[in-house]
Amino acid sequence: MTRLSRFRVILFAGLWLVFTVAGHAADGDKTAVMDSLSGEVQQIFNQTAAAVVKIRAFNLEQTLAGTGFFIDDHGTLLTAYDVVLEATRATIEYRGQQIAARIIGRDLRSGVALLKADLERTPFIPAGNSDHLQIAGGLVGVGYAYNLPVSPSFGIITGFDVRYLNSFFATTHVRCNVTVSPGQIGGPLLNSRGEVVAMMVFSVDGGRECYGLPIKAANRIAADLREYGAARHGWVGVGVVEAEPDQPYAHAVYVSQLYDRTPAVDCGLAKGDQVIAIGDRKIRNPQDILDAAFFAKVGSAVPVRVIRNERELTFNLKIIERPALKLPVTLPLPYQAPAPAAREPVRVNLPQ
Amino acid sequence: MNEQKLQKLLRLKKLETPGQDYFDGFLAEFHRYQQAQMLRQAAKWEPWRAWFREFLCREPYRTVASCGAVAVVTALLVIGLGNFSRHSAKQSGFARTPAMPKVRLVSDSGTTEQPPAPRYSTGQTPLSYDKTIAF
Repeated sequence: MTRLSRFRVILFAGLWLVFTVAGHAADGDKTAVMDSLSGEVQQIFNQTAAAVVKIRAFNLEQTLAGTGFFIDDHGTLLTAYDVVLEATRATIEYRGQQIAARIIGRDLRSGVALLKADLERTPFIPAGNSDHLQIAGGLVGVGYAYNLPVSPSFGIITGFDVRYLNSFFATTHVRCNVTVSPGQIGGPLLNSRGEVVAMMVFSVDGGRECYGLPIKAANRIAADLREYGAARHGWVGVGVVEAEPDQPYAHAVYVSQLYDRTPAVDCGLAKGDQVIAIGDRKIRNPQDILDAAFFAKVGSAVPVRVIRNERELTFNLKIIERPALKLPVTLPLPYQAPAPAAREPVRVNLPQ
Repeated sequence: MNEQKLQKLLRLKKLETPGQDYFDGFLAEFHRYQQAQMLRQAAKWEPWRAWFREFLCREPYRTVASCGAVAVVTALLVIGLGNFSRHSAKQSGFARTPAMPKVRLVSDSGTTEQPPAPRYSTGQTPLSYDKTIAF
């Protein structure tokens, strides 16, 4: 064998060795990713499952069942409105025992209900920062499906919505593909640190996806329920619409309606004003309006900046309590979602 | 046996009829059986009939009439109350509740109870009725 041939043989053998080792390493990486993910979900589940309880609520006609979780060590529980509806009493299943829980309050508009059990030193799930959530971020849902033991489900954030078909949520909701079985509504959605960042409030597509109310919004309602026994949503009496995409200033938000005997009328806002800021929050789309209004405190004064005839104006609006949501006598169950509505046309005089 | 043989046999049997004494005997036997049956039925109710006859003879007419009236009123009340309870259950909506499967559960105290099957929340209650954005 010549020296050149020997070199070629060694070269081929070396390359074969390198590719074989690299291939095995890649396979190993795939397994490692799966194991790592599975281990992380297990860890989050083990860390939080004790603070997640099964809730039963009772009204005249039926027993309702769902999930809830402790938010402090004094037995305060957060759950979804859909779990208690208009029930008069509730119990939780905690450490194998049925314990009575008082319904402190409930709010249909945000889908939140607050309960209190006479317990001390309960395990609880700390709240994470829901403002940091991003699309494709991982979420772990924990809840009780049917009469089965507590179980986890994993998914990712697929969007942030204020509108579902032709109805608007009270504030931005997190859409995720965490599967939800009957009974799991009201359970927490957890981030990778095991902190609750949202609560499962609304399932869509037969439970294949769900909407979560960000924990910041849930805590804002919970604070009202604790203090007043009911949620107090802010109101200034302004209806707005978004400009059509083909118009100049697309996505800009304009005043389209002013409600009688409201702060908006009193302070001089007019139809056609372009809303550019509420308080410190800049308004770029309707989502910003809903979020700004949701977190506005009743009784406070908020500066609203608008553009009228190319001039910027500021109005100080006093926030009053939003008129009560009028409920139909019987809720349509199962809810038949209406057909998607066409975008509302904007009838405003745009600046030339 | 082929078809021809069968036809021949049937023709032969058609001509074979029993005598008159057979029919007379049959009729007598039938009447005897019928009477026996009637007597057996009557014997079954005879003790009750005797007791009632004796009761009527023993008790004065007024007592018997009063007992009958009380029995009729009680029967009417029972029927009326049954109808009323069915009607009121329909009105209150309880009758509309579908029948749930009975599940025997053991509670913490160890006693058995039959709780109604719950409605597991699916998060289908619409979260907002707002069709426009207003604040």
